[in-house]
Amino acid sequence: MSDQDIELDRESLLWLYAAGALDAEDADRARALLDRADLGDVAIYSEAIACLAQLPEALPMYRPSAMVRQRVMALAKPAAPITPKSPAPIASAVGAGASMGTQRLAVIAAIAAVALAVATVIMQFRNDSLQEQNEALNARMLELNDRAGMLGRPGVKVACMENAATQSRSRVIVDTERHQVFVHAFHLKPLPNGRELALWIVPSAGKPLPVGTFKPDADGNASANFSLGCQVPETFTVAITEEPAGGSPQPTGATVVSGPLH
Amino acid sequence: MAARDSVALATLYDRYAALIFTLSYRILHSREEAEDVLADVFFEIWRRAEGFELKNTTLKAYLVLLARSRSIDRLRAQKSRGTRSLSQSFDAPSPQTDQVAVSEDTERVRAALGQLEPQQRDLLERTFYEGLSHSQLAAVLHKPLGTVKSQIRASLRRLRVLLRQPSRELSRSGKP
Repeated sequence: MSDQDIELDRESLLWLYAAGALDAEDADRARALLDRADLGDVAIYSEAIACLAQLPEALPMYRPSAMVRQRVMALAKPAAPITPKSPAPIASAVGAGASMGTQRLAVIAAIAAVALAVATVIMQFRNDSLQEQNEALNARMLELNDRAGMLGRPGVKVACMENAATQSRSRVIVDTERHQVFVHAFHLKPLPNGRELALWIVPSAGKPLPVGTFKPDADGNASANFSLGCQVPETFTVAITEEPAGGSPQPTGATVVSGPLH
Repeated sequence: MAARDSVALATLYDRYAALIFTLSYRILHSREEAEDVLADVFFEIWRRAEGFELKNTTLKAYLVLLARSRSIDRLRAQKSRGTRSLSQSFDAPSPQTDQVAVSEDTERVRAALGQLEPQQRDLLERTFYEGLSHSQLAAVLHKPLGTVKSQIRASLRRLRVLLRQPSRELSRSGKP
C-alpha cells in the first residue's frame, strides 16, 4: 500500500471485492476471508452481491435479437447421432499401382495425422485442466450462494446494529429453528485485560439471556458463533455488552451495540 | 433446468435475457458482443444445469455477476487488442423496437441511484461497468488511492441503505 492508502475493514473489503474494485493485494485478503467460509463473511459478501446485482435494473432495458434465443434454445435439442466414419485406409493410397509421389503424399499425410492426434491430446489435456479450474471456481460461487440462501430460511432473523458514538457495528444472525447464533462485529474498541464482550438475547419481557462471550481481534473485528442452550423467546432484541472475562449472569457493563432483529 | 428441460431453459431465458443483454451492452457498447455474452452465459448455465439449484434472487445475482465478469473480460481483451468501439454506433439497440417496458424494480433502483451524489454514482458506475480497480480509478481521477477507497466505500454504504428503503419512500425523498 502507498502512504496515501487506507486499511479497509472486513465489511468494506468484502463489499469492494464483490464490486470488483479491489487491487490484487486487497483482493487476495478478501478471497482468504471467503475461503474460511465464515457464515458472517459469506452473509456480508452475499448481501453485497445481491445489492450490486440490482444496479443493471436502472439501465434502459433492451431486448436481444431473436437469433440469440434460437442459439440458446438449440442447446435443448437432442444432438443428432454421429455416425463414426471409418478413416480412409492409408494403405489403399499406397496400392500396388500408386506412384512414388502418391506414396510420399501418403507418408506425409500419415505423419500429419499423427502430429494432429498428439496436438489434440495435448490440447485436450490443457482444456481439461482449465475446465477443472473453472468448475472449482463455479463450485465455490455456488457454495457461497447456498450459504446466502440460509438467510432466507424461515426462523432466521438478522440484526444490523451501529453505535453512532463509537462507530462500532455488528451483525447478529439468529436461527431460531436450529438454535444457532452468529455474531460479527467491526470497529470495536480494544478491551482492557480481563474483559470480554458478551452477547445477550433480550426478551420483550423478562431478564436478558446470556448467549456467549467473545473478544475482538487486533483490528477491532470479531466473529463468533454459539449454540443456544435456551428456548428463544417470541419477541426479543439483541445486545452486546462489555463484561468480566467468562461472562456474567446478567449484563453489568456498558452496552456496545443493541437493536432489533428483522 | 436440472432435468435439461427446454421449457425451463426458455422460461429462464425469457426472464433474464433482457437484463443480461442490457448489462453486457452497457459494458461493451456492441450489440454483437453483448449477444455473444448472453449466449455464453446460458451455455454455461446449461452446461452446469445438473448441479444447479434454482433460487430466484441468488440466481439473478449469479447471472448478473457472471455476465458482468464475461463482459469485462471481453472489454479488457478489446482494449488490449485496440479494437474497442469499432462497431459502437452501428449496432446500437433502437429505443423504438428493442426497449423493454420499465418495471417497478427499475424505478426503485433508479430512484436509489438518483439520490446518490453525482460523484458517488460515477465511481460506482466506473467500478461496476468498466471494471476499474481502486488504483486504476485513482490514476484516472488523479486522486490519492486512500481517497478513492473511502469514496467508493461511502458510495456502496449509501447505496445499500437506499436500496433497503421501500420504493415509495425513495420516490418521496428523491431528487427532482
